[in-house]
Amino acid sequence: MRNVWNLYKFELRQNTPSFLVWFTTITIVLVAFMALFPTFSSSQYLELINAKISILPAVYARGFGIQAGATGAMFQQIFFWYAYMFQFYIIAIIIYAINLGSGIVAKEHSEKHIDYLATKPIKKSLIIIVKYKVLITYILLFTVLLFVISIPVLVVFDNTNSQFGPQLVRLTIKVFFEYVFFGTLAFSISAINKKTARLSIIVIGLFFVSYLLGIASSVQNQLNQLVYLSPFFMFQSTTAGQGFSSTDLWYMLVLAILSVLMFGLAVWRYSTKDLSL
Amino acid sequence: MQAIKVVGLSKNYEKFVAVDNITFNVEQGDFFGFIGPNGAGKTTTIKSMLGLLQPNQGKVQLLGEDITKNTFQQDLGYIPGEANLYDNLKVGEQIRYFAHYYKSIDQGYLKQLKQTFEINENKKIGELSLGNKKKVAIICSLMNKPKLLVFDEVSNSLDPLMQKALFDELIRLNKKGVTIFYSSHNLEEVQTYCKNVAIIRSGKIIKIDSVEKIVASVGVQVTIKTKDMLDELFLAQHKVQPTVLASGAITFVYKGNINALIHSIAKHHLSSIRIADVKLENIFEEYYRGDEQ
Repeated sequence: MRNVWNLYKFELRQNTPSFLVWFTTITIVLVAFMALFPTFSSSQYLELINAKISILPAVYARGFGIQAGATGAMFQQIFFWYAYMFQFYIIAIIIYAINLGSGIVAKEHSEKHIDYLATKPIKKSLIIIVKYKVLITYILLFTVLLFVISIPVLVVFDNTNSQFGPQLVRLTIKVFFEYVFFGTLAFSISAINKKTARLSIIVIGLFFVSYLLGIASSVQNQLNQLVYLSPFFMFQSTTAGQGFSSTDLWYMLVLAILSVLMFGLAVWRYSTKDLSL
Repeated sequence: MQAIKVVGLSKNYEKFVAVDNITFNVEQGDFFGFIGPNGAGKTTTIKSMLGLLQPNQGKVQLLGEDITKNTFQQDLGYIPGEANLYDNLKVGEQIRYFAHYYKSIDQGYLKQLKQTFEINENKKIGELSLGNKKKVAIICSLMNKPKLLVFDEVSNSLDPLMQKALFDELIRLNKKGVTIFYSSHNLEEVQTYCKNVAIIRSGKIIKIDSVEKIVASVGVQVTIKTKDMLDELFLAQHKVQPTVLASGAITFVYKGNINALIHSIAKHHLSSIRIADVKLENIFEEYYRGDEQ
């Protein structure tokens, strides 16, 4: 256990700077966008926004998480404003999770530290498990801290006294599963790959393919089943604050099971492959 | 007991056979040299022995236990060929990080190592020269008082003083029973410090024996300075093939009765004579060349 704790602390520390950069940047952007809410929610701007959005085709607006016709009402609620902007933070956090998941495995190999680490008294399977724990720790930390920071930000800039607590909790829980899924995908592909290379670009590509599939599913009724291949659209931030439907729960379960399976495969493969070349 | 037992070890990289069915043992307390030309399979053998690479076949036991049991690391000190430590850490942090993996560290010994290798604990690893990085790696490999040391090209990039400090420490540890597996291109080091040696070429062990026996089997290197030419009778009698050096001295390898040789040479007008062990590099030149043919 001492060895596990030693590696865990070390990996946490090694990845702290990138976490701080990503988290600080997203927090600043969050606060900046939320600060615009009082202005945007004023009637003058609402009319302008309504006019602009109303010219969009309904399916196109849906693709960006906006229900045409109800725009004005939506932009009068701070949570909708928050959730609308949050879809961009989700993309950023998924990219962070993919980078971390891929880098935490691959960096040890690309910089050839693995020759030292893997000859220390710690099993290979534990090395990969600890690294995954660090990935989950940072995703969890990102999610929780963003949730905590969002509360005062929403309170401060809410000039309509709307309720947002339960919606914020539901949104946070749903997107957490997305982050974990994409982080685990990047982690596992890097660990399973023969050369343990940094393959984040491939996983980011996969994410954007799933994103496009989600858009396709929302603009073409015949393609609406494709939404299941797009975690981002399954838990679209503007609607994810609503209750947990049975589909939501099933989808969360599927993402969790897939993450566990990918992680299991990564542990097995990492323990039985060449760690050094 | 054998500190290292390798049986039928093979490692392929797709179709390329890097290590081909090698078998050898290293006894506990040995100072074992492992030499071979570039690309012969030295590093692949070492990494397969330590579990960093998965052998395609064969078994390895370290300190009496199968490597798959992962019990040997507590008593292992290893320095890979490339000293890739964590550049963003300070030297002291690097040492403490690795130290925490071991059940116990003798702080007195660690302090002594730091003094011997003259390291600055406050410098970042990334700011160090290659030689200084090697010194940190040496400390990290010795601090747990291992029973088995595996060094892959350690002394290159160390200055002569540090090389001496390293070998003084290795000799001290070896006398205490620590097994040292020493892979090197520096044959002089291997000849000076190792008791036994294995030569690997094209992934196969082509020679394994004690350094003393290998050297003795070849004979001695005789270098003389004389005004006379060595006559045909002398050359035929002692079966030697002399080479005239730039200095005018004549040198040859002699294998046979040394008294008889001296008796014959004494008939010439000698101005100097030097008899020494044949250098490993001369002996192994033919093994190395075999790789190119």
